[in-house]
Amino acid sequence: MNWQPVQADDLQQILILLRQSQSPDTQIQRQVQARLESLNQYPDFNKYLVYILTKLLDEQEATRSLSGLILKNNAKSHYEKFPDEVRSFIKQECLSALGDRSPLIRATVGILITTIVTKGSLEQWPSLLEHLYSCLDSVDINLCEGAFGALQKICEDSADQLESAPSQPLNVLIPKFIQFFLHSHPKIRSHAIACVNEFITPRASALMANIDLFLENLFQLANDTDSDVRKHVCRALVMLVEVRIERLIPHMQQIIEYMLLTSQDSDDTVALEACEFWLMIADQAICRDVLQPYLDKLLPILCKNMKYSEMDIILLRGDIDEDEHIPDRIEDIRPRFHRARTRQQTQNLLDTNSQLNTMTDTNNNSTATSPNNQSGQHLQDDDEDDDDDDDDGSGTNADQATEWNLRKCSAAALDVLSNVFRETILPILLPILREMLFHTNWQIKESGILVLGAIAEGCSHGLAPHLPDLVDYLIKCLNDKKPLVRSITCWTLSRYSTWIVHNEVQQNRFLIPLMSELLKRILDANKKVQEAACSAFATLEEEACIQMVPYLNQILETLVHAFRKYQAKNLLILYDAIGTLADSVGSHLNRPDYIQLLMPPLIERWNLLRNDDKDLFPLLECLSSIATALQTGFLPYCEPVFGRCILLVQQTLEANSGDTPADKDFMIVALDLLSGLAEGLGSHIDSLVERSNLLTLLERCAQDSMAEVRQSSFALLGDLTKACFRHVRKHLNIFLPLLTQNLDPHHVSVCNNAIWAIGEIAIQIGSEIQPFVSIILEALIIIINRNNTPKTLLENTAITIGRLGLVCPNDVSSQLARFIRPWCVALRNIRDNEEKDSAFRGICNMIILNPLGVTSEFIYVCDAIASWEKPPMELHAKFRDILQTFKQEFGNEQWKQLTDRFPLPLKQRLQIHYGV
Amino acid sequence: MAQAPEFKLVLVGDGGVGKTTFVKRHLTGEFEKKYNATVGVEVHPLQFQTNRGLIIYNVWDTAGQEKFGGLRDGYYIGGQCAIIMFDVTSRITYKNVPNWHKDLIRVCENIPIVLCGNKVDVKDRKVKAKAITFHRKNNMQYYDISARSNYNFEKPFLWLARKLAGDANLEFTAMPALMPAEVQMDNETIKKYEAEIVDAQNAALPDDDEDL
Repeated sequence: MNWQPVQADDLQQILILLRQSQSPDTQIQRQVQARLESLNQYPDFNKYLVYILTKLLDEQEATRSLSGLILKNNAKSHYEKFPDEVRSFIKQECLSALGDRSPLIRATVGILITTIVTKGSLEQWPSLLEHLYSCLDSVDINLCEGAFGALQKICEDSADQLESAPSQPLNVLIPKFIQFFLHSHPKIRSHAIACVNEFITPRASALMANIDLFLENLFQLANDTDSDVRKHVCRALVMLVEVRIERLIPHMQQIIEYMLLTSQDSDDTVALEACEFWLMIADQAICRDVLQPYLDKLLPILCKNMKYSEMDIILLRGDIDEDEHIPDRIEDIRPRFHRARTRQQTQNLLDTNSQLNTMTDTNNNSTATSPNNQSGQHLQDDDEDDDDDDDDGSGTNADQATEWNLRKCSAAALDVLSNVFRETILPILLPILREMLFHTNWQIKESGILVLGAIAEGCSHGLAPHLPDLVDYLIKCLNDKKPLVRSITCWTLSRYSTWIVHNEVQQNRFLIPLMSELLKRILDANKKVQEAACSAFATLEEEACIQMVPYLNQILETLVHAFRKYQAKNLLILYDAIGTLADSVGSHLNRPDYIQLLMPPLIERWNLLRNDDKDLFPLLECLSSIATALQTGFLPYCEPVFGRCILLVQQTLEANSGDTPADKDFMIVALDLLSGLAEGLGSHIDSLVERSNLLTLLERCAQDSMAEVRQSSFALLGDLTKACFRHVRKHLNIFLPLLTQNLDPHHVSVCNNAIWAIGEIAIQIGSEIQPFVSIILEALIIIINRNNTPKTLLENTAITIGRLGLVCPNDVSSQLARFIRPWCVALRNIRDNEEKDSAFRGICNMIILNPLGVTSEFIYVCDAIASWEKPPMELHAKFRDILQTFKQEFGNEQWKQLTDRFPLPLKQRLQIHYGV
Repeated sequence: MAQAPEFKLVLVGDGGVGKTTFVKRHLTGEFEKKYNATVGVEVHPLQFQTNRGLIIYNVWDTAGQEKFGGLRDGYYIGGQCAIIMFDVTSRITYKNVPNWHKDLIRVCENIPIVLCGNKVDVKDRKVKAKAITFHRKNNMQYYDISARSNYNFEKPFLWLARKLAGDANLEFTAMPALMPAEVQMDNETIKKYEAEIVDAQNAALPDDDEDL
């Protein structure tokens, strides 16, 4: 078939149009598009397009290529409507132009071919694969490349078709591709590997049948001169480890040796591909066995790769020592959010538990993760927090966290490998580390400090004997003259803060020097160092808790000083560090001299900020922590803060009823600070509440359409219930129905806070809650029996059920059998505290009323009782009575049968404490 | 005097991710609150002052929506660098990144490409930083950006300029005249605008992880 343009005029018109489409003028683009649409009505238009693509060799390649791409777009949208003769003509022309001398035209032809295959299937083009296959052997390199380009695109787009085609083309194609791994042109080698790589993840059988040949030819490319080829080889091997590791085992030695070599490639982008291999294999069960013999080669390579490249240092401005005077640009500051408060039943246990937390971690108590932390952690969304975390494993800040490079990949690999091999890697690493840490080249020294941070978790045990010396040395490095050394040292030291505060000996020796050096770095002249030091200090605060108390004066003086000198970006981190300090030392902060130091600058800032300035958020969060910690010490500052919060809530509510609704975050953050005040000041807030319209406003907030507003409203409601119930009481006719409407566990945090508030209210009003009990209880029973309910929500639900049972035992006890088992499981892991006490007193009352409700699950009841370390006397007596009564009712024989199933510690505990 | 070098920059990504807003931010400093789908392509010259002199990007802001695609990958021809954009509050827009990337590199082999996750100023982020890995295997750079707050606005252009010039020490000497970041935006407009985007994409994902 030989079609020629019927009208030379038409051809000219189309060509002009195509040339115009390169114009940067939007108007011309519009016209071109309109014209094209009308031309699409023209029956022969697609023939013109393919003619221009394949035949007009003297036309600009952009014009020809565009012609092909427009044709491709037409085929994509309505290939099925193309007449048969048009389809045949296009196919024939494509094949004829495969070897065009222009790479762009060859690429365009390939795009057109693969589109026709996806739209019209291989079967409708039976000659295609055979033709492409035969072109591969052509002496014309353009033809060979064009055919390979087309095949690669077909492999990418239509792997399924190729695999399932009745003629089994892959049986021929894959060995052919593999044969081309050794072709003289790098571009052809790249195409050939890329083609085969498409079939690794789908585990095509034709590939698996040729896997030995595949690997053998891959290995021959170990020293390929072309970096793209080397990258493709790495990618192939990484993918194979992912999906077909068992087939690789006989070749593992060679693969590892290849990867060791390539991990040191002179081209960093190739080395990066290779380093992904170590990350990948660390996740595999066979990692230990296969890597063990190579650790002595691998570890030095990873360490070496962790050095900053010259490029990194330029980009990080690592050569600039002092930049604290340069203001931050607004476009460099990451948008920041306030996260509404989530309440737990178990709070304010810091003093009593800090010791426990460090010593016993077996219990996995919810209080171990700093309860009621207002620096914004939702209890459930650890994931979310990770976004804002500075700590991505290599001591860089959040802005660089998304960049991926050889240094980070190697550090990540070392981190995971140290978790696999633990201290067994130390005999290899320690000599390397020693050399790096004491190297005169600061970049090598810096990377040595990073290595030390990367293995902090995996090698913690084996490193212990060396840590006194290492930590000493690191503390000295905080004074290094290079800012990048100082900042990485802050990060690495923070990774060892658990060890430093672990026991008194270590504390005595290291805590003071570390703290005083870190405080100096907080005041560093380099902004990156300030940032790293502030983050490290916040970590130390969390670990050391009340061990920081003796040094509060020095700490506060430093933080306040920093407050005056910091630029915008680090100020945000400083607020967090101050808030974390308040959370960590609690009421120890409540001393007139500390308050006099800390509060004036914060209040000054507070007065400077306008009501619509989002910089209020971090300050309000920080004040919220401080108010909770200072308790009555906050009283002198309370009134203006309280008043402004009320104003912010009121303004937001008013704005929302008007024409220009406001950002509700201002309201949420204000509600949360009010919660902090109520929690910190307790009954002292009574008079402020009395003089305000807070509860009327809260009624409206609790009905807001936005879940987070309701979440914060219920947290505040619960805190006000505890602090000044007489004011809440008058509004219960509104609040109780609202709370019952918010028990939907899909809104985890709202539901959690509503349940908590109900429990607090129940304790206050006692049996007056009765009219609501049945409806609340139904919802709670559903939640406690649901799969995947988050742990905190389960605990809160169980405690509120117990409290309802305490005040309305008759209503709740009839339902015991429906919740006793998950109830016991939810509360067995909570440490002794007041909330747990009230809940267990409730459950005891119910068991006494309805013992049959728990008979079949009695082992869970026993286990939950045994979870008490030291129950209060009244509760202890109840436990003893219940256990004795059940023993009597069961009779000796049955009791023995039951208790024989108990684990030994449980049996012993019940015997010692309750004599059963 | 030598003419300032000009580069064709292709800007692609799903409809509604904020490509036009991002470009207009530079041109006029305006934040486009209303969503108007781009039809075909709009070309905008963006100038940047560097320590090596002026450079100009001719940004081909292409239509994200299928139905307004115009010449689609026809616009990529001659592209010397590219930005692929998605919306961190919409998972589907990230899922489609590999498709945009594939179409792009088939026409423009070996050009520097930056991946940008826009709308990091919106609280309800759906594509978490740790889930963004596509750029790693494809030798691209990634930036979180916010066309609304200007966050990281010039970073993609700077990275591309360094790649194109083969000069890591290239710096922008004067910031483009951006208007001040929006302090706040009323919720109704946000909602309306987001609703339009959802309509436009017609592929909203279920809110399966509320609060988690």
